[in-house]
Amino acid sequence: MSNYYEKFYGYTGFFPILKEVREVSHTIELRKLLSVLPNAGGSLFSRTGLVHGARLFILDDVVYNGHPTTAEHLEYEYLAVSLTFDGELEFLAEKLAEFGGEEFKSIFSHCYGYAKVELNAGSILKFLETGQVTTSFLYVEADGDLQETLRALLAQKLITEMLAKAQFLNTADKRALVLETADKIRSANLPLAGDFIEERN
Amino acid sequence: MSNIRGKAYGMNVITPMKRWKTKILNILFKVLTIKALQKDLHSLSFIHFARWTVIPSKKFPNFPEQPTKEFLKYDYMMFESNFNGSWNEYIDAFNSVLSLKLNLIWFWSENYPGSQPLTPFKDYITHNQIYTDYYYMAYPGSAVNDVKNALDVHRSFQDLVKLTEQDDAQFDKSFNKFFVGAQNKLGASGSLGSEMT
Repeated sequence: MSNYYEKFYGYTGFFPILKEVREVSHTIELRKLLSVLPNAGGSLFSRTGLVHGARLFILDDVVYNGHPTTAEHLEYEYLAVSLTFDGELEFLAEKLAEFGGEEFKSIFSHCYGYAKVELNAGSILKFLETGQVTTSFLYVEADGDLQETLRALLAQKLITEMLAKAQFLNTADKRALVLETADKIRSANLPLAGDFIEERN
Repeated sequence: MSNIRGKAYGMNVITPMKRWKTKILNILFKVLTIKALQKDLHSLSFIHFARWTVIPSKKFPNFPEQPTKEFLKYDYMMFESNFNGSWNEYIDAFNSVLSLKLNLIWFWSENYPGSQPLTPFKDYITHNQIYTDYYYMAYPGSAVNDVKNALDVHRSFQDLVKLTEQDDAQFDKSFNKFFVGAQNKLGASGSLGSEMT
């Protein structure tokens, strides 16, 4: 039973959606919101600088798998949240408090318990912990943290260009080219998490 | 609503389980944390992240503001995977490489037909799959192998930079060694690429 895989944290949460009687239900509003919520560079989870992958979906009801099982139904609809990120839940709560802003509020204000949440790390952490279900088994294939991965993806392209140029150079020039490429990698702006690389360049 | 972001597909499957079976399954998950047993997952090479979560029937999160508590008869197992490629390719490959382990894990779910033959298995997954409403990937244009290759090449390059102080003959050797190691891991991933359906 583990929320961890090496240096990664796998957060799983279920947040009951408000059942208030109103013209448009919270579930419908939330689903509409999620369908248009930005997911590119600069979006909610991109801004945290920690999250590798995030997904949110609405669990309307449980699935009936036929005889001889008994059909049953959820009392509430749930917003299911899965996040894979670097570090600890406390760090993520800090980043969400700092960068979550209106987007975080617009999602979770449809759920029970959010009305009392303030936009500070402690309050967000408590909210996330209340909705948390322990991940039973987490698996992450690549071992780089987010910043290292983004830099490596950028570096891969620059190194490819360097090797194409280096083919016909003498040793001194190769050495200079290696150092020049290292400088370029160091000084380049990191790709923005959530973006396609060509969108940025 | 989309299960797809760039090169990644996000799958969610939730299946009911009798409560007494959860203890057995939790033991299996503990065993699976042994790294040597994960080599099949590594060999697939197209899974970014995967997770299984058992939600006990009486432990659905409960906030004080809720008028009533959730009460269910069954525990539920949620499987989530982020992979490259199409749903069909994934299920086919997952099934052929991990057939035994899939059976060990899903065997405890109600009316699980087994991983072989493939058609009822796919029907079961389809029946229990829930679509993703919001999907974010930090590097949507890069497949898992792109990411692993980029990390390898960058780390080897950092080692090469430290060797630039070597004399010419030694540096030439180091450069060639780097080149040989990197040549199958190069490229410029991260672009939008062709659209997946």
